[in-house]
Amino acid sequence: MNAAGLLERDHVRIRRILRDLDETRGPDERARLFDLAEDALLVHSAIEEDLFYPEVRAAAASEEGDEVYIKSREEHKLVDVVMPPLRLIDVRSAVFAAKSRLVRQLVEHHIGEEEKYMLPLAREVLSEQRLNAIGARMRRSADRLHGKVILAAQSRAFDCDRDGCRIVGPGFMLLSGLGC
Amino acid sequence: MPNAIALLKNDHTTVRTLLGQLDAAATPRDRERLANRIADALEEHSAVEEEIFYPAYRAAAGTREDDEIYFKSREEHEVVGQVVDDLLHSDPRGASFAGRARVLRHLVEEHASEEERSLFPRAEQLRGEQRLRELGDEIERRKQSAGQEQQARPQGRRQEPPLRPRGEARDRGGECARSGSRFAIPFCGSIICRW
Repeated sequence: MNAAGLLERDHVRIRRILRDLDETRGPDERARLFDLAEDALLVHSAIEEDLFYPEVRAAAASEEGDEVYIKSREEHKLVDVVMPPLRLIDVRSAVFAAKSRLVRQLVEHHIGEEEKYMLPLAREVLSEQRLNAIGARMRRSADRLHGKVILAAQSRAFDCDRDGCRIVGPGFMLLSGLGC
Repeated sequence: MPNAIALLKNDHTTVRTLLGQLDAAATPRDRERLANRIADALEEHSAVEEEIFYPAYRAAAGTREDDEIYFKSREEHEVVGQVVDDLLHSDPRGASFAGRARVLRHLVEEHASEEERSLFPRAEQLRGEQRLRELGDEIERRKQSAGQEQQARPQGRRQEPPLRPRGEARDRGGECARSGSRFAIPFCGSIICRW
């Protein structure tokens, strides 16, 4: 599986989930879509940042490559700011609707930029064979991560008022089962 | 008396211009100077919006859609604030600075145009001309007193060290960096990532 192709396929899925999350009003459906969105985004950004971006940057070895790399990572970080508190917010509230719309916009912009700059660059600087090898690693990594990213959201301290919730204490995310 | 919306749109124009200049700035010194000016302008603008304009809008807001617009604008300030912090802590000679400046420009552009498209027209409907002028007056007074305060203690804010590591902390590698978290805590065979 070609790495760039794999990411494009992921993008289609993520766009669909976030669009549905934004447009659906039913609380149960929203909660279900949120779980899907969280899992999809965490896994997708993890395999990109770990396995894809560094390869493209190293192979490009140019100012353009550096800039595309940094911009992509910065855009992931924005989603990291908005996404985590959503888990503790009532899916029926206006705060939830506003934040999930913002996540959708941020992600759509990021995906658009990536497909315009990062993926063409990757196809230019990496051979077909190399892209296939990276794609295979990304796929294995994604299979390992999907569904295993459990959020221990309850351990997070939140300060909630009528305007919504803000994180005031540490938040934790558990990767893989506790080995004890 | 100035209309609040005209004042806020003026702020948008100022920041847009500065961000355009930042994008084109040739020397690290210019970039640093512009980043500081942008940070100050955004801080002042967000403060008057959050403390004066948004609450007045929300008090008059009637529909669910109004509430959503309100929350979204506030959330966008939060995200912009994060990028500004990161930018001020980046080396103006490096690629991180350039990347962050680009991201900031896009975010501000989106936020400002959306406000001009939805929040401002709606505020005009909800609040009449008279009330918007009163709010404009309040905004001007607030900006003046903030300006005096800043003159009294120049550069105070940026002398302070960052409260917590941002950005760079994620480069530490390991499972947590991989999953987008900032810190890793080993815990009996598992890894717990802290946001």
